[in-house]
Amino acid sequence: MRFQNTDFLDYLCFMPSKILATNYHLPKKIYSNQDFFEEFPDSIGKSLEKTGVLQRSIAEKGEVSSDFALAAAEKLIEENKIDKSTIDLLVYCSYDHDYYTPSTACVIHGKLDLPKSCAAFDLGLGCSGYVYSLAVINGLMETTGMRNALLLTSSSLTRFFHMDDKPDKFIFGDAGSASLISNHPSGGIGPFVFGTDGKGYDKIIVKDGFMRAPISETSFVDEKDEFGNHSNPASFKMDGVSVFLFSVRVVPPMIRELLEKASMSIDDIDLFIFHQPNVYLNETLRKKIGIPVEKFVHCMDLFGNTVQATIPIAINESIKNGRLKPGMKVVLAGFGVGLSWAGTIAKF
Amino acid sequence: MAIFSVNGSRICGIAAAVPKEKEHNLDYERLTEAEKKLLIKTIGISTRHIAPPGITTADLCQQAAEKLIDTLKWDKNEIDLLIFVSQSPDHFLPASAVILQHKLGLPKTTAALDIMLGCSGYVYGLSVISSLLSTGGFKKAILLAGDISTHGITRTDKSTWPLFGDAGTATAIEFNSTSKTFFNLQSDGSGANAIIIPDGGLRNPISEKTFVNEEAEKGIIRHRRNLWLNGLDVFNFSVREAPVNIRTLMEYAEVPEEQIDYFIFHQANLLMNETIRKKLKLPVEKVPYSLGAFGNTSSASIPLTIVSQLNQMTLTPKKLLLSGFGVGLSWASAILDTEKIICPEVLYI
Amino acid sequence: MEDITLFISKIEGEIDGIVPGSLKPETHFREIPEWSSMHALVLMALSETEYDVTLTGEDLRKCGTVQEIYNLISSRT
Repeated sequence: MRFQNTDFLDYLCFMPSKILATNYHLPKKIYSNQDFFEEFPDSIGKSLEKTGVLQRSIAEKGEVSSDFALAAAEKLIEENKIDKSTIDLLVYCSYDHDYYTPSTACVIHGKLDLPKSCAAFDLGLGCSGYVYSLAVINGLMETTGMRNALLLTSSSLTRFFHMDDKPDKFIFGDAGSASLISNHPSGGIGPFVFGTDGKGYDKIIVKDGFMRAPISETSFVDEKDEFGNHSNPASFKMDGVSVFLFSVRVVPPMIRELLEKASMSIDDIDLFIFHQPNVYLNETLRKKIGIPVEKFVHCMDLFGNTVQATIPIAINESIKNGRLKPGMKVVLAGFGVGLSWAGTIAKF
Repeated sequence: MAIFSVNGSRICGIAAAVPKEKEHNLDYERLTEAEKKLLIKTIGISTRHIAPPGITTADLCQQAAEKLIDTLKWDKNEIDLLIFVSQSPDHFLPASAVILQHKLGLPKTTAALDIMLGCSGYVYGLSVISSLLSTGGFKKAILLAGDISTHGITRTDKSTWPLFGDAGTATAIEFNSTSKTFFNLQSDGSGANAIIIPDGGLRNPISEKTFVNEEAEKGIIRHRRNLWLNGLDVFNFSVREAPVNIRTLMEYAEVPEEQIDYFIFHQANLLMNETIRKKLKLPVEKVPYSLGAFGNTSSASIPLTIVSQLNQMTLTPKKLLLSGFGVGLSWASAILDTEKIICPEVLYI
Repeated sequence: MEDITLFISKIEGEIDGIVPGSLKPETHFREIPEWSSMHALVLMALSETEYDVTLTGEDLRKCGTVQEIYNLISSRT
């Protein structure tokens, strides 16, 4: 692609980007609250139900994140009749990789049969990953004249769970999402606010299995925390209390800073779509920030916390049920594992 | 097409760290003397540095970054972007960049993320940082790139063991409104099997079958948690695609070969890189090599080559072409102008 | 393309351990002493740089003799 006329190039360079379409795919296997209480009959239902989850879909043996991302991408391409030769960028954001090497974005690139001119890479972040990926894609698009980007965010976290990890089995679900982000005159994603606190890296972690601590005999030795929750070094482990406190501490100032950066107030925003860790936490955040109920999206009941996929699923559902309409300005915010957080304002 | 230019970023410094432990390919007992001679002559790799257990890619990158920040006298509070490019992170989750934000003592306002790519990763990382500096209001960024590749290779596989070395690097990049960088990024996932560690990710989790050794060919005994390298396919791919990618970028940027001071290639192996050099008709003195002493160091190879081979040369303005190609399959090139890149000596950890 | 004698002398120049003049068009290249994938790479590199012809691993598998490689490369120049 070459341009003789540099004015045209400049025009392209400043074309804003826009989330044009989203789609998601859930694994077939459904794990309902009834299934949960049958597996753990002595669990106390009340506190768990505050999380707002009624059922979740979970990966079965042999199913992985990239399968869900691929299925979502195929649906997205078909429904929106996207010409694959115009896809210039593929970003796969997940902690779940098919292989140590090569990167999963390349594997998916091959399965989708995308052109060789398409750039592809994996971006490793969790709950803040969707917003981070938007920042990276938006940056590349605004400066490069790339036409279409596929953002795939996907999680099969339940595969890392200890078999007796009750709270996490209740809260989390698996899903893959695909978003089409394009150059569009009526678009605009930004400004962005980011934050990182690596001191809390072990608050949400799968410790063993990579470079720092390869799998060893001790990887599968059971541990129990002060609340009696089970885990082992090779399983997923979350310190729920610390994460709750962290979120309440960092999210409200992040939203304030974001609105300030954009010279806007809550009144100027049409909808707030946050990462969906649990309804109880998000209601606390909503009240602390002072967001009216009708502008705030909860989208947990049928999905659970799907980590990187929560925001695009909530976008998709909000469009389907009529809450998110063209022209709206929407605050997107992710926060969690890292600890890492990010927020932006997207024009739909 | 992923071919484009970005305004606004400039490399100020690069540092590299390798493990102290060194292995000579002449000491590789599974080769005959004739094979050793042929190997060192064609592959061009004499020694490699190998990380002992307990040292991770993040550790090497951290040391390189500390040294770099110190040398440049950067105020840590001004660093607002940290990207870690690797295929050997510390944990499944969280991201290693986030852990390094804390270990490096960077402020909580720093944006931190991981990018998983190998041989092409340095150029991809530069492209992401450049575009974020150009549009995102970021001022100072650190790009960490490297791999402990030796965790995946075994002495019993002579097709991989003599090739790879471990290294971690840090590159300091700052916003600069006048500079312009050109990129050409490409992918071909249909070749994902050409360089692969079959087990250990989610697709094929570790099982009893994982560690069963099999003799794939004479001299190639490996299991499914080892790196499987189809050398002939990778050779074909690299010599076919890399020169086209580079030529297309030079045309796009309207920069002829004479204007470029150095072509810094991913250090795959001498035969492959020389084939690419000859196909592009580049003079020998413009194509530096670090693979003799360090082997193939994955995403660290380009910055490590700059640090170890060009040291004093980068103190004056230069025009560089960088090109990475390999695992994915994924390949990418960049053309950039530098004012003054400060490179402390390679650190031996 | 040049004649096969020159082609053979180029191979002999690239691969150590071959006595100059010992390689014949009818030589099966897998019978070259210590033949290995490294030698295959050397042949592929020679074909790329000298003749701008891409030889794949599959191509080499199909060929038995030096003459057959020569024919394959000349058919593509």
